[in-house]
Amino acid sequence: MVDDDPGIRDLIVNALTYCVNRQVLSFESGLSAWRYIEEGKAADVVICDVDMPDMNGFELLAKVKQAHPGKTFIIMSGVADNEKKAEAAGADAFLGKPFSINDLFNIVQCYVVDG
Amino acid sequence: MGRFFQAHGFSGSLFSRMQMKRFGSTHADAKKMDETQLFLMKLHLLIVMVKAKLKGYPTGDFRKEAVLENTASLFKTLPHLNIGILGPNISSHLFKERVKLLSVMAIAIISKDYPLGIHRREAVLDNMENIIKSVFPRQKISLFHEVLMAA
Repeated sequence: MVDDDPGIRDLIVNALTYCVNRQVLSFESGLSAWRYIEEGKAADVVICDVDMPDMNGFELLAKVKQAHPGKTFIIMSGVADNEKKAEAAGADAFLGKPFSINDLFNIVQCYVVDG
Repeated sequence: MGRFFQAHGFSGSLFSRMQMKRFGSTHADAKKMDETQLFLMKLHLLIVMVKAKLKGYPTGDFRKEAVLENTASLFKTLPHLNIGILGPNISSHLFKERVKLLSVMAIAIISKDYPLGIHRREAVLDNMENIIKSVFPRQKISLFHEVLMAA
């Protein structure tokens, strides 16, 4: 989970931790998330905001998909135009803000339960 | 892009695998999330956590920790919250006290494994239903069976 807004980041981490009953990692910038993924550490699904310092969501998406094409990458944004950009950049899913708890459960259903 | 795939004879299943999935608000409703929305999501999550416990879904260590984190976050937000969404007949003070009570109940029965007898179960249900009526009167609080069973 990558977002520089601690309110949204902590809420999503709580909800996902509860859903999957496993550790969910969080990062406050694209660069810190990339440093972790670059080392080859486990991250099956990445949920990432767009506007962040150091490295934005689209830059992280490009790096992750180039190095690990099989990883699921979900772009999250409250800017409508970013949906088309996410699709063009190869994101697996788009999470439009504002979203609900049910949307997070649906993501777990789709990418963890159904695989 | 869909027309391209159809025009070139790709199957529907192949196309659907490649198409980006979509969750959350629609294109027209896109905007930043405010404090009230975040509060309501935390409250919704707390209600799901309590309902799932009452239904007997498993609670592992990470789930217990998530309950503690979520309730701590609700407690932090609650005093400063201007709950404009409440109807005119609902006291903001009483509503906040009910949320605090539900948080304590959740910590006790989920994170700390205190026993849940008939009367305690009724008290939890009654308090939870009151909160749901106040802020989610038309919203169905769903439990995702497969997600809750998977862990």
